[in-house]
Amino acid sequence: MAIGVLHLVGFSTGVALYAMLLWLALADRRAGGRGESLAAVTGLLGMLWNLGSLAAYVLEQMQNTRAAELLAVASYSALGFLPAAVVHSVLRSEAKRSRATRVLILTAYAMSIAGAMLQFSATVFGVATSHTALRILTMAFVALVVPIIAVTRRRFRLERTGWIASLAIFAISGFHLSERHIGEYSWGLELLGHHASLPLAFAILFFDYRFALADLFLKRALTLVVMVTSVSLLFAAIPAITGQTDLRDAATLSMLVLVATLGMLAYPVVRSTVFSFIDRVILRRADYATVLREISRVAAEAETPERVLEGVVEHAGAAVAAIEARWSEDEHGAIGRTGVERHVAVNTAEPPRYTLVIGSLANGRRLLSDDLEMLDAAALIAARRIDALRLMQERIAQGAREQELSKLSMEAELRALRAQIQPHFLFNALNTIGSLIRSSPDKAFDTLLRLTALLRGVLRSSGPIATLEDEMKLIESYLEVERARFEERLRVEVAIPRTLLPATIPTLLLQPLVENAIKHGISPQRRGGTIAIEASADHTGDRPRLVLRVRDDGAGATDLAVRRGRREGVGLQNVEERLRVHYGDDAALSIESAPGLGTVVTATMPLQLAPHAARPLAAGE
Amino acid sequence: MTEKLRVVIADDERPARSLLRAMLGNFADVNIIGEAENGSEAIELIERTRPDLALLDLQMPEVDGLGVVRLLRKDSIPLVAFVTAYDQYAVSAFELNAVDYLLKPVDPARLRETINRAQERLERAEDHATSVEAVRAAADAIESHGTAPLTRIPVRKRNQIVLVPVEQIASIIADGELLHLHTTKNEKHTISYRLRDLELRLTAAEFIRLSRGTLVNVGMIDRVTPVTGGTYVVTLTNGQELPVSRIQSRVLKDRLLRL
Repeated sequence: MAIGVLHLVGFSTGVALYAMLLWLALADRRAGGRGESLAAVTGLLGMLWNLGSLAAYVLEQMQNTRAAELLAVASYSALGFLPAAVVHSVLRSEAKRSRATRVLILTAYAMSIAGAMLQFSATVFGVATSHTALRILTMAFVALVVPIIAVTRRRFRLERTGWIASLAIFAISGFHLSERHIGEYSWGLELLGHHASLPLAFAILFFDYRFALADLFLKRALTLVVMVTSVSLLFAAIPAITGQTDLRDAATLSMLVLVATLGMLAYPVVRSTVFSFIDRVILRRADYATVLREISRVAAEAETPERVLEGVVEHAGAAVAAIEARWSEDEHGAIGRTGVERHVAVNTAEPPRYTLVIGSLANGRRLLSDDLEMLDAAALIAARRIDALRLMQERIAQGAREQELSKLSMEAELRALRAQIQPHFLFNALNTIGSLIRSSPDKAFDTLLRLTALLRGVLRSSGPIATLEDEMKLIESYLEVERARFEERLRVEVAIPRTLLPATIPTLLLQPLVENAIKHGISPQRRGGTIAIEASADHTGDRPRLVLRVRDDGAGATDLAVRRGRREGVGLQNVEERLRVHYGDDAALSIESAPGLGTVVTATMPLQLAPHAARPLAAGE
Repeated sequence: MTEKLRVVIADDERPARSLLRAMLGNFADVNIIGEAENGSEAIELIERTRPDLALLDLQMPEVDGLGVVRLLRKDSIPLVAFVTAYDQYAVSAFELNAVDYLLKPVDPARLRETINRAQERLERAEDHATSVEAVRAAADAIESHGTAPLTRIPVRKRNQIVLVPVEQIASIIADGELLHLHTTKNEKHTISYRLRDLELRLTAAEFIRLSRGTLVNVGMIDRVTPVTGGTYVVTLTNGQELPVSRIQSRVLKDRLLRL
């Protein structure tokens, strides 16, 4: 009874384990892994072996000997191929494939095929299974160990021990099966030969883990086996404790429930113990949680994307024992001496995006799923930090831009304020008004209102953008005050199409140009002069442009004086600077001047019309 | 009862003139003998009418208030009070040199003081030369501060004021307190000005020093001839030949004789 249970549990565990291996190997392949077909083949063979044995056992219990025998034959044949797969796996990873290795692999498969054929022929001739075949297989694979050791003498001792042991286990499995029909089952042989061999076989088979999900598989498999084994042992111990073999006995049942409950309670502990055992002892990995914490810390301390990447790739590379690791600006970055094991994309929100380039690992290791998960997490940490840094930089840059803009427009306001409320202008205006109070009080009051409107307009002009209409109102007030002063010496012509009145321009852009025209063009002339302010739209380019022109027929200047004025004159510099800040290379300011003929200043910028709603009507309008 | 003070007004802005005239009209001891709209007119008016006091606007087209004082014949310079809307530097220069000034809009009480002061000076018959020197000193101080760049230099041609465009000046040669201007048309003018102060205001064309007392328009240099001793002689387009000092030869070489 106990042995029956042991068999059922053992075979079922075997089926589950190999099925898991098969599934993971296929999943790895689907996920773009290196397609370790040998792992899938091993999984398939192992599953067939256990499934066959299980079915055979069940059928045997049901007295269906013939069918049981056929299944057993298939099962043993599958088992016969497993050592060949091990040999293949071991030798395939040899750096240089010599003729000897190829011969060894072929020999292994030939023996497996021979074993299978012997099995089937035995069945055909009416014999149950061929013990001879199983024994020959066992012996043959034990014999194979010697040349394999010779071929792989340069490999690490632990690794070598691993697969020798796994070969030995399959050999013993074969051996114990060959003994099975001879006498009574031996407990020890049964445990050693099949069930105990399972976890060990896996530990060894995947010692030089060949596919990405091997670590995951190992962890789950070992957890399963530990759980099954411990629960089975407890279950086996129940009759000894209660003294009852009948499972329906109350004490036994309660013990069973207790065992099941204990098993469930113990599962998380077993799981985490097994996981850390595999990480630390078998894979000898660093603790990735700690590594990621360290990477987070390093990334948080870095101040530039380059520093972030350097820090992350250094720590992550060291954690997976990569011989070389670096970061690259393209997704196919190569690495010097060793080959590239993997590119891990650092998916930042905005380009440029970077790649962590992990070179080959020390001791010919491969990256497993946990390693990849850790690398992805590291890349994510790097990406988020770089995003944060970029955002911060952008904010700083934007802040600086806004500051520059507001500073410039504030300067313009202050300067305009100084230009219009420039003491000279203001006192002259007041002097004019004082004179007009006597000669023509109405005109005095009118000029006073203009001056007030101008001061209000300048003080109120908030925001960097105004419509041409607003700007012209301000300029007209300014010109009115100046006209009261210069009288017929100052003549003004304004030519602005109605359609362009809602066009937007930087605040107080025109005023300094008009002011310059008066100061340098009109006031030094005895006869005075005419100032023309013109606006037009230029549709010749791909986008419409606004052309503003301030023209005077006054004193004019030589090219040298114009250049100096442009360089040193605060007003012109400010106008140029604000055009640049608002429109970049899309705007231009040109000055043409000739002594005695006058000056033309032309500002061109993209034509942008303000929506009508954005033009508030002044009170009383 | 003393004689009435004979006053002229010079301002390019009509409202400003009419305001001053209205205020002065309230003073019984003042006789307005003339008004000028600009500096040249002011010079002509002053030399013709010989007023006691001239109220000169500091900012006038072509020839400003300071220019009027420079261009007046020394013996025809009257007592002067400058009128300005706002010019802190000029104001401090006037105060430093005890030159009278008025600020716009003019306060009648302050104008009264100016008239009184002028009367006192005339009565005490102060040394006229001292007051002329004071005005010149103030003008020098203001102009050396680098006021508005000059595009045309006002010069006297007998009884006329001629405006010489800066770009038509070929050379400027210092001679004691005077400066001789040579134009491209080979005309010669003489002004009373300091070379260093003038140089600062000549931004309309590029000038270079040939020696301590010689300034030439770079655009008018025709030839540069090396002479023995490592210096040069510069020939201008108007035919003038000017020697270059040892120190300035090096400057000339660096600035002009390099490709």
